[in-house]
Amino acid sequence: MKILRFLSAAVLLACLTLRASAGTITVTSLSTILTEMAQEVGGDHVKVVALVKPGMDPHEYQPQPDDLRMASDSQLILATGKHLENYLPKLSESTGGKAAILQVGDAFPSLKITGEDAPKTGGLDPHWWHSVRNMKVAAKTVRDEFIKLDPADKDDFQTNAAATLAKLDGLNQWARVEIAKLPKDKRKLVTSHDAFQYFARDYGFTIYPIEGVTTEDEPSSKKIADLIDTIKAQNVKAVFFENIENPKVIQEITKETGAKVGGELYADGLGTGAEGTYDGMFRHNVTTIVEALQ
Amino acid sequence: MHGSPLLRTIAIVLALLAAAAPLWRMTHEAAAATVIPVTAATETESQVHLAVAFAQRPLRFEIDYLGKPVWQSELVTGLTAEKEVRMAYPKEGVDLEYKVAWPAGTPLCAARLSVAADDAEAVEKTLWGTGQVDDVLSFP
Repeated sequence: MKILRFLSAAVLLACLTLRASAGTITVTSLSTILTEMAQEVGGDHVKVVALVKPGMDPHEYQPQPDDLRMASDSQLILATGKHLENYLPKLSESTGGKAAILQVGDAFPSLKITGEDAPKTGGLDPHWWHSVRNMKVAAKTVRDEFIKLDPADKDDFQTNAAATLAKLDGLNQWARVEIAKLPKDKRKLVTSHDAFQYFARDYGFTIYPIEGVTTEDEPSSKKIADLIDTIKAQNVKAVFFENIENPKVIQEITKETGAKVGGELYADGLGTGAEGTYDGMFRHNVTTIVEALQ
Repeated sequence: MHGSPLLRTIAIVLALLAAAAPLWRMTHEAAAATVIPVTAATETESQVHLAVAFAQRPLRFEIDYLGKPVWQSELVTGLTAEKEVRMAYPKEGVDLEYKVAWPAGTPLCAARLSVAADDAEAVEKTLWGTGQVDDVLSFP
């Protein structure tokens, strides 16, 4: 009888274990881009807590005690990487290393930025999501991590990731056609922070950043004067500011050069409304750039 | 020459007045004519030789530059075709949108586009696909 009870308990335990392995993965995301990606690829099998929300500046975000508690309860922490989240070592320490940290940006080569702000990010541009090509690699990286954590739902993760990849292919195709409407000699991007190196590489633009890579930095007078000379020499038609930047400096530059303000670009992540998805944000940026520089 | 100086003066004035209108028209037209080459000169157009080749005959194809068609073919009769066009060709090169439509059921096909600007050597790029294909090809 005792043996029978033991066997029943063992079978019950095994069933519960199997159920748990095909359960919900708890994910903490430090990026608006990765929050959406995790939800798309993970579907019903993941629960994503977004610590960095649309409109927040990821360069300035610092985790609060509540954030640390939520991160501690997660199985996986998704981070942009490439030195964007300089607090990651502290986060790992304070959560006791329970949650695995996946720095998605480590999955592909970095592009460098130059200038006085480069040392803050180790000279790397962390805004890799402005390349659809990078986004495809990121989707595969997230998919593989989910499969590791929840192998029972592998098929669903693969199906969801395939749908995401197809959507990204369509987006890239659309962007190539839109950007082809802009002559190559007009593909000169003057932006309020150096965040579009990957975009420039993919679509043949030259970048003239107004300041370094973080939104905390105020550009020096000499840097502004140099930029004004460059804009005049290159006959740049428009300059851009992004969603969390004070546009005063840009207004001064446009006054001196005659270039117009090109519009608002989403450099640091998702916005709200139509720009609250990656697809919407990317289309907004491409359309704004093409219309302003034509 | 005989006659009073007054009559001669009147005749000269009348002759000058008669010539004034055509003279004004001529100078005005000349000024207008000088504007056109200046505008045209800023365009810096090149003579560009385009050539297409297909593995299977498509229904139609189109080549766009800066969002506007430079070559449209609604009725394709062969596997190759070529055309001379005048278009802006900056030293940075051009991106051409190449749209090809093959009949339904046609297997994976290739469409080649060859571009030669002015006296430069031709550069070839190939597009692959089935059904309706639309992609951007970059030429130096």
